[in-house]
Amino acid sequence: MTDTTASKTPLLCVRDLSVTFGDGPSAARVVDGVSFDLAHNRTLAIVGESGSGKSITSLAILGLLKHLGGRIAGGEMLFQSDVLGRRVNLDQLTENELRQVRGNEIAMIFQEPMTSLNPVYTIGSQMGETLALHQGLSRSNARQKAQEFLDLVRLPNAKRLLDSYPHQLSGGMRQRVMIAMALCCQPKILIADEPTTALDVTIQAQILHIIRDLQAKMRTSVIFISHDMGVVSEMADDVLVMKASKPIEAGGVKEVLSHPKAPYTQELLAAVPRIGSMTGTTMPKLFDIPGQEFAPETVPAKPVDRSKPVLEIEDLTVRFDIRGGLLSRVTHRVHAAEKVSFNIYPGETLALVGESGSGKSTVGKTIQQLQDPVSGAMRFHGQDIFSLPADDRKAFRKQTQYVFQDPYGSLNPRKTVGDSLIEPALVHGLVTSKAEAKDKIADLLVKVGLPADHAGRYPHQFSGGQRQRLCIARALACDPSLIIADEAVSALDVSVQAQVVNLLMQLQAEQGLSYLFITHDMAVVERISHRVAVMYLGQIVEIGSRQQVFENPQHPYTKRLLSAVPVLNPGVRPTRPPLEGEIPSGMRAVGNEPAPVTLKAVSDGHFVAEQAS
Amino acid sequence: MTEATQNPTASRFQRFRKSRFAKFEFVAGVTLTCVLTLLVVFSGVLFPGGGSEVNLLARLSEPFQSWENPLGTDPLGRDILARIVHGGRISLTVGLLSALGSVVLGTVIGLYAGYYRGILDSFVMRFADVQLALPFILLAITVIAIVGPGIDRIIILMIVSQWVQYARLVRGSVLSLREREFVQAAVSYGLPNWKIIFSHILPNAMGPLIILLTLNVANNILLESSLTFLGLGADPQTPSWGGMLSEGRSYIQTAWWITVFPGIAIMLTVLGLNLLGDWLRDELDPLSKTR
Repeated sequence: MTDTTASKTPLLCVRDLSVTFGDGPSAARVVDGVSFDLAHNRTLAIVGESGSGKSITSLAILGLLKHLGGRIAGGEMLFQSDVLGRRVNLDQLTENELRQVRGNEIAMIFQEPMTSLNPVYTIGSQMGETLALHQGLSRSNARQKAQEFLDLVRLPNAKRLLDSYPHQLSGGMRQRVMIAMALCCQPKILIADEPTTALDVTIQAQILHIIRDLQAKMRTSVIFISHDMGVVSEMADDVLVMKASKPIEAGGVKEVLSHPKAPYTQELLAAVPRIGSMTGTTMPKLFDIPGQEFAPETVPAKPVDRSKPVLEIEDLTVRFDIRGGLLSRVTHRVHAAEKVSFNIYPGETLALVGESGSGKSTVGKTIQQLQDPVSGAMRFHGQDIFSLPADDRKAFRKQTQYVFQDPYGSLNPRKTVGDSLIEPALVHGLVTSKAEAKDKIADLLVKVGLPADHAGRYPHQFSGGQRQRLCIARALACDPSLIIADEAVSALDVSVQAQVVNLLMQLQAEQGLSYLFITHDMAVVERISHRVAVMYLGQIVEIGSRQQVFENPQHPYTKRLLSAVPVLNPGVRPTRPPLEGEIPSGMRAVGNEPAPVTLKAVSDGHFVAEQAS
Repeated sequence: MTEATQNPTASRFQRFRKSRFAKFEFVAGVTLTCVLTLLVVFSGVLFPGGGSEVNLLARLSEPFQSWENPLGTDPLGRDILARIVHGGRISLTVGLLSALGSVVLGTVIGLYAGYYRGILDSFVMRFADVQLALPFILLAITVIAIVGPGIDRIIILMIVSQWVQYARLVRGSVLSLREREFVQAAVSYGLPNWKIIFSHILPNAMGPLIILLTLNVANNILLESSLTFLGLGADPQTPSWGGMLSEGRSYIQTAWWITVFPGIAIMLTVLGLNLLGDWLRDELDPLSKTR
């Protein structure tokens, strides 16, 4: 099929590429001396943490830097173009020539499926536009071709989808539409920039499978940009590791991931939580980060005392009304949490896992009283909270603290971090004088591993990981007994994530804190939790100790969730069958209540929802 | 530990841009505003006649001809410069007081409606819609016809009809800010509502508010002139920039200076305030400050 000469010379040859932003002495070099070859029908993964320049490299290839104010300062990008009929340096092309190459020979999939489709056009017309432009197809031909490609990405009912608008599709479906759009001109190179980062794990597994499948069929070369080592190990043939705009290490996927040479790669790989690495252990374990100041053994793993729970949740139900019709009557309800019950004991981490829409955050917000429940009881150290008058209930906000997902959004940008940290303590009257406040701030900063003299800085002067430390410090200000961490480490880079997870575990050991750890990331859960509760459509379908749930999953959804997690096992392509279908929505018509599940004990402390026969 | 934070490209670009403009904005804004304010405040000392001394012998004399009337005279021979300086009293008072009044009223209502939502919110916003649909001039004519003309009434009328735009702007910001995680976090650790509103929401809603305020001052100076033109504003004998503009209208072909100089005065005021507003907005935002 391909002649031998073509497969010998690489399709894309990037040499010593440098990109700068700004000009004059203040110019910032964002990509510095990157070189790689992309051969036919191969996948090159560019991995690195945020700010490493991996996305900018891909934008440079597409000639999209001008829109961002960047320019190529040096190096060349040689590409064998069929449309232009010659080997070209992508940097030297005119805007007109670039347009012919873009989308036609080099296509791109972006990270955010929610915003990369234009909401005012139907799927059919957006795909038709690309086809008409590059292939000169007529309207009806373009439509037919679009439908073929929607079939290829296994979207059910492709014909009807052509007339749908983006908002009618779920995130996973939109990303499949994006892939279909990118591939419909049969490009030689597909650039996928974090294509599954915004998606749930089971959907991620579907998308990765589709990309692999289509690549084999269409013999496309793929540049796969990701921060997720598991995904990279499943997708890539070759790997290029980048850090702070410089290339660190390059080579075959097996070589780089199994026997990393550069210290940075080793560090990065040590920080990646590997699912299954905790098999046989019962207690949480710190990440072993090379060069960290303490040995993991110094944090004693105390057994949890299960005599008196900190928090008891009983039959908690939260629903959101959806109004419709002329009289805006309640027509549907979202059953966000349905008869959820669990206990958390002192010094214990309970992980609440599930995919988007499973109601896990709703449960957390209800416990923090950011959301009112429909029914149910919550006892804190034995005291029933929901039955108390409103004012007394508020006092309990001191006892539980919430850490949010987005470290950039959860600190007021106009306050110094010192002011932000001390605010909860001031509200609850825990500090009274200025000097006391100053000491407390310094104390909190030191506790989370930040220099005490940073109190006068503003949030934007800190990195994402540091900001999440600040949020944790703020949560500690009132000496709470329970911290609810809502996807608290999901937005962080792996190495930072490992540090923050370690920090949480150390604080737990030092202060006997309890955590409700809400997340979708099974690999992190395996590290940090004592017990795990799996939520699906607002109900807990399985709950038990971490070992019970991970080593002996009983519910089909738990199994599905665990099998979808990308495994860091370079060179081995996953053999799991692709999971089909979408995650159903928890919205139901009034009167159509979900059947409550009954939990059945499998072994001591391990409960599983009974299957409807 | 002190790793370089945030995106270096964006901040460097911004810093480069900011360093050049911020200084200029500040210096020009402060100079213009101070000079104009001083002139207006000391108008009585500078031109004790109040700009209403009639000198029919020197009527319609051209500008830049004599030291006596550097900017020329109007059809009654009154000195244009003296009238501009004195007119600034009324124009600036009306412009500033009406804008400040509306910003306070509108912000309080907007904060309340946006934060608490509920029936009050829908009532206030429907009322705002009705208010916006009423033509201001019509309202002004009706009200002035009943209570009689006067500067104080004009100011109150402007406040009554202009708080709406602030309320809507603030309400919009509040609606998005109250969903932000730092506000949620403040709720979660039990901060009282009024503290959340004033220490977390308001400071973050200030940017657009300041810009609207500076534009509004300018608009109200012009509005005052149209009301004066219709005879609804200040006593025609007292000079005001708007009044001068309308007086000069019939002479624009032959004596351009009667209209052009008060026009320039309005322009400089507006420009000064806008520059000052821009600078203030950036100064209040820690993000734009360099480290």
